[in-house]
Order: sequence, then structure tokens, then C-alpha cells
Amino acid sequence: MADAVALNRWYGTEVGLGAVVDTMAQLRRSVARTASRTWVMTLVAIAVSDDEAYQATQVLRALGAHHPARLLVVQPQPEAVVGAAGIDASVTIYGTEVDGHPLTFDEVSLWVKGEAARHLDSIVEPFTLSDLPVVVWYPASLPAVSEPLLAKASSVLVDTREAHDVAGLIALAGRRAVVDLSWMRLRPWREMVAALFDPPEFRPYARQITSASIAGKGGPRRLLAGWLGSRLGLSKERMELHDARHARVVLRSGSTASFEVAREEGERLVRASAVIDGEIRHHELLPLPDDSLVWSLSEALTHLGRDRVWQQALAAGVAADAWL
Amino acid sequence: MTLTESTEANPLAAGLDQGRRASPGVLVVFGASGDLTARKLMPAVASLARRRLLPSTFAVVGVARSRMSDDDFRAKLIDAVPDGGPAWAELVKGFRYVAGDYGGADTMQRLKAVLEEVDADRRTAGNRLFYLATVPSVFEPVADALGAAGLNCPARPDAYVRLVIEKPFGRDLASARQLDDALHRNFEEGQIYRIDHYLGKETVQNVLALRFANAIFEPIWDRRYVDHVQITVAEALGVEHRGGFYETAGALRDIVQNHVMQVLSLTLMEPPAMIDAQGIRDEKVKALRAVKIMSIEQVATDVVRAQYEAGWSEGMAVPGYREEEGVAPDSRTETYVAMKLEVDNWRWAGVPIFVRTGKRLPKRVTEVALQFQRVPHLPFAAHESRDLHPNALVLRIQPDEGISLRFGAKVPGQAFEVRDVLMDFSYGAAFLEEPPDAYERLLLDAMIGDPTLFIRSDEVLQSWCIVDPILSAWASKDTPLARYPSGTWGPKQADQLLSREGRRWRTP
Repeated sequence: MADAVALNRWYGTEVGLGAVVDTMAQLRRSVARTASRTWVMTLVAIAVSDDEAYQATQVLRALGAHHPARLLVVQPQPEAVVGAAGIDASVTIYGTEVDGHPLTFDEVSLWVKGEAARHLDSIVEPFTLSDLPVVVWYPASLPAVSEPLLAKASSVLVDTREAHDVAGLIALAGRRAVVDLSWMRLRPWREMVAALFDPPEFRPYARQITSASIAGKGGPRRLLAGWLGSRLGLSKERMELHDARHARVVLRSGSTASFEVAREEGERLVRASAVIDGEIRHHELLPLPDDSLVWSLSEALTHLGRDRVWQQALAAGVAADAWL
Repeated sequence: MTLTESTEANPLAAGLDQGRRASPGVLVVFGASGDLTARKLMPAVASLARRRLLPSTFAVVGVARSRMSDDDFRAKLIDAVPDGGPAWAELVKGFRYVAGDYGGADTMQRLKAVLEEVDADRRTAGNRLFYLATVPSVFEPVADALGAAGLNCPARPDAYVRLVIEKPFGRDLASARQLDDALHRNFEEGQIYRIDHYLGKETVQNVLALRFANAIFEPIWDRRYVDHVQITVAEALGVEHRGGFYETAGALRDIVQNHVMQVLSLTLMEPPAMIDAQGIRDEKVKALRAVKIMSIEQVATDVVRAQYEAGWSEGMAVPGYREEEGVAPDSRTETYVAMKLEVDNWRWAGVPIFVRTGKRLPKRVTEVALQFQRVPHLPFAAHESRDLHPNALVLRIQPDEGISLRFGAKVPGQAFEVRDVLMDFSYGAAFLEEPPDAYERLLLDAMIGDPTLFIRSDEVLQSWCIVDPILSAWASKDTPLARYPSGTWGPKQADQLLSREGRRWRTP
């Protein structure tokens, strides 16, 4: 796909939502010679700062290649002074070309001021595409369980990488589909660790893991610990957590066997190995897949359902005080 | 220490949705030094490994006549996947090579020994996928030699042995039966995976999604609404360097018997109870059985064969078929076929199916078009609806995959003028993600043991039953062979096939 270029843009301050929706239709007509995309969802990003909004916008545009969506970036500003309508908005129609097909897609940014910022459900509703899922993404914060917008969301995307208090998230996950981007980024790691126990002769060791050593950065490391703890029945006393730049998981079965997945220093490669009775019984080198935000968001949008294993991992992480 | 095997579930695999991950096994490629292996199979293996769909307990063993060491073979495979990186190089370290005659007992004994070593070294669990990437003439000897060496049966009860073969599956009905007999002498039908890479294409599978995931299309997908169906498989290229092969094949064998029959059966079949191997293949066979077998007289009136002449194709002057390398100057091999098929069942009775395929046509395109009937009465003035045609639903399979629906719409203005508009869904523009290559998809299916997208024996034989009478009728030297200039949509006789019934070919 060629880089998208802005074909037409509009910006309004203190405008009503009706005006924004009408403007969107007018801008579309002005570039009517190009075909609109086939949508599969409405994707709403809730950003709490200009920086966050900018980042989210960049990611959402890149994401369009995999998940054609109407993009809505909402910046709630409850403390801002409200003028005539309380909403500033911009609408941009982008054009691009895919295999010779001219395509357009639109992107709406809304700055919602004052009390309206506490009623984002009513703000988002006019922009949602009928009959298609509404996915709400919180790029850098976790939503309050009482947030009214969540009632409109088919799925909620969050990132627990930097999160401390996830108790509310656990409660929310019990009520609707929540997808954690941090969990998505861990998916290749989980696959590689799980693959060590795929051979039938190694399978019995999975039930006999006596200790685990998990290194990595804060949130993901603790999520990995919660996952291993909940799946293998390991108490927190049998797990060591280390702070490290690159992830590394070592599972030991007494003194007889150890299973390790570790990133190669300085390379995007992961080495997986199994040592049993002092003998290397398995050795594998795997490329580390993309772990960019675009990739993890794309993965999240591909796996929008509820994930009980993640819920259990999150809960186990909290129970083990791993989230403190 | 002796490791004890366990069949209990891997607790860490929960939630990882690894149903489509291959189990341990060896891919044994006959024809390992050939073009298909380097160009298609190894890039597919590397991509599967990159996507972590292959287990670490996987290996490739190449078999070919060329003398090569294991290291030479590995170096060749590394060259075949230039973007494989260190992980591919690491995986390839466990691959092996056996040189020898394909059907030789000695070759099979050495292969057997190598496979046992690989099982021990790579823990491939006795699972074998034999892939015959060879010329068809060695299918039988290889199958027999595998059988004689006992390699056709799993060495352990929980292991699998499967055989993958590439088209062509015979040259006619008799030779297809002979090949089938040879394969079945050594392998159960459930072990045989016949590849037509067309079925690995995402958009061919999308025909099933369109038909059976949507309530709005199926009710009009029959004789009550459809006037006729057109299937086009057009190629812009000529025979290129394959003249020698093409002389022994022709468009009917090369395209119609396999690709066209597969697309045809997916288009005409009844809804299966389940989208699985038995459900889909049972319905495809039923659809093929309903296609009327032609008499010699019908072949004369309903089938057109033709050969391309020199002309202009995609802006270049190109030679005629008979001037191509490896082609006899008096060749009567057809490079183009157009035909009218009839289907004897409740759904399609009276709906003609027009098929055309050819080389050196104006562009490369594969599509299925359902042309709907005209409305019973047009309530518009003739001059206001002169540009209106019957509705058409077009399934574009390649290269611009998608679906378009032609319908009438009012032209803005004071008059009530109605004209055709095209509502277009472009698969690639909606989901820009690159789908897996057809070989990657099919190779993984074969390793997993999912034969849904492979062709069953009865499908092959039924396709030949449809095509064989045409081949027999053409055996006579008196059969007309039309000519068409390169870069055109075929001979005028093909146009007459439709125009005599008041219809005409679409221009894709």
C-alpha cells in the first residue's frame, strides 16, 4: 500500500457532533471519485494527552493495512473550559492506492471538554458504523470500571505493561472481552516456552516443574510469572523474578532437567533449549517476531474474544503480589 | 535416562490456539534438487518455521538423482531462501539428503536408514510426509518402491505416513485409473494428498465463505435466478520454455481437467453439512457427477479448441504457438478451449455453464461470473434503460481478488434513466494482510492431516469422465482447430458458442 496522503481536512472549534458528522459526509463527497474502504469495525482510541493522541493516530493509520476500520481518536479534557459546544474536532480524509485501486479512509479526532468528557458513550455513538464491532483502545491507561463508554464497546484493548493496579481490570474482564497488548507481545514467548513441552517425551516434565526463574521488564515479567504459576501450579515461593532488559525464562524440574528460552544478546533471535541429565536434548534458534505497537495491536484485533488463560494469569500475578 | 512419553495435554499450550501447528515429522521430498523444491517448497517450509507453525522436531530429507552431500543440499536450501537468516540456517542443519534412482530398492533402503537416524536425532516420531515433486512418470515407481521397502506404513501405531502428489493425475481416464491403482496398491486413500495449488488460494476458499456464510446469495444461486455461468481462466503468457511439455498436455488437460473442474465444483456444489474434508469433497463429487457427459456430436457443437497465432500481447510482438521453442511446426495441440457444459440436477438444470481457458489472452485473470436473468418486465422507457444489463455477480479469483455485483441505478437528473453500476469488493483492499502462499497452506494441511483442500480419488476420476469424451472426439485429425491472434479473447467460434443463444462472453 502506498503511503496515505490527506486529501481533505477540516478543523472546527466548539462545534456540535452533528456538524462533525455532516462535515465528514461533505468531505467524502468532495473526494467521491475514489472508493471508500470496506470497513470491519469502528476503532476508538481514548488518549489523555496530545502526545498520546498523536502516537495513537500514527499507529491506527499504520494498522489500516490489516484491520480496515473507521478511526476515532478521542481526547477527554474534563477540566477544560467549555465554550459554546464543548467539542473541538478535526476530520481528515486520507487517500491511498492498493494494487492500482484508489482508496480513501477517514479519521476523526475529537477533543471533548468539561462534563461531556464523562459521557464519551454519547460522543462516540454517532460515529460508529452500524452492525460492526466497536473496539475501544486505551493506549496508556486502564479504564475505570464505571466508564460509560465501555457499555458501547464490543471489546476493550488495554496495555498492562506499565500498569500497577489491575484489580479493576480483573473485574472488567469478568464482564466483557478485554485484550491486553502486553499479553499479545508475550504470545511468541508463550509459544516458545510451551513448544519445549510439545515432544511427548518432554511432556511429563511440565507437571514436575519445581522452580522457575523469569527475567525481563516489570509488567510483562510479572504477567509471565502469573501465567507459569497458574498453568504449572507454581507458588510464588518457587518463582524468582529478575529485572532485565531482555526476557529469559528458565524452568527446572529438580536437578535433572531444565528448560530455557532466552533472547540472544544484541540480536532478534531467541534460543530455546532443554537439558536433561546434563545432556542437551533439544536446541533451537528462532527469530523473534515483531513486537511493535502496530503488531501487538493488530494481533489484539485478531484475537478479540475473551481469554480465560490471560484472566487466570493476571489474577495469579496479583495473588502472588507480583503486581506490586 | 530413558525418557517416558506422555499423551497428556501440554498445560502451557492452553489458549494458544495451536490447532494448526504441525506435529513432529519428516518431510521427504522426491525431486529435491528440482525447481519446485527451491522455488516453492523450501520457501513455504521456511515461512512456516518463521511463523512458528513447525515444531523444532521437524526435518526435511531430500531425495534426487543428483549426487550431493548433506552439506551441499543444505547450502542449496539456504540459497533457496535468501531471507531465511540464522534461524533458517539453524533449522537446515538437521536436514539430510539421499541420492539415487527414485524407484530403486537401494535408494529406499538408504532412505529408510536415514529416516531412522533422523527420528533418533530430531525426535520426529516416525511421522513421514512423502512429497513427490517429480515428473509424473515416476509417481508409480516411487509409490511401488516405498511400498516394497515398507515405508508406506507407519513404523509405530501413533505415527502417520502420507503421500503428496502434484498434478497431472494421469493423461486421461484410463491412465488416471492406472495411477490410482498403483497408488492404492501401496497407500490407503486417506494417506494420499493430491495437490491442486488452486485450492490453496485464499480466494478460491473464499467462494465457500461467500456462498455458505451469507444468507443472501444462496437462495438466488440456482436455475430460478441464474441465466448462465461463465468461468474464465485466462493467461497472458504463452507456453514460454514449456513447449515440449505443453505439446503433450494442451489446455484441456493442463487447466480444464483440474483447475477449472475444481472451481466449477465449488461454484455448483450443494451446501455441505460441515466445512470439512468429507463434507466438502462429497458435495464436490456430487456436483461433478451432475455434469452431463458429452457425446461426440455435442463435442463438435459445444466445444471449441484453438491455437494462438503471432500477435501483440501486453505491448510486445509475440510468436505464434507453432513458432515456440519445443513445439512442432504442424502441432495440433490446443492452447485455448471454450465449452458449454450442462448440469443435470435440480439446482442447475437448464443453466448453461460456459468455460473458457487459454494462453496469450489479453490478460491473466480467473473469475466465475453468475449472470442473472433479466427482470420479467422493465417499467422504464426503452431509451431510458438501454444501458441496463442483467445483474451479474462476479467472483474474481486472480489477480484482483474480490467480488463485484452489477446492478441498475438511477442516473441523477430529471429523467428516469437507469444504467449499470458496479458494486465492488476488493479482497486485497479490505484485508491488506498478505495471505499465506498456496503451497504454505497446503503443506501445513498435509502435515496436520487435513485433506479438505486436496483432491480425492473420485474427484479426479469424475473430472476425467467429463474431459475424456472430449479428448476422444479430438483424437480424429479431422477435428477443427481454430486460430486466434495472440492478445485477443479467443477465436470467433468461441463467441458463436454463446451468440447462437443470444448471450456473449464477458470482458473480464
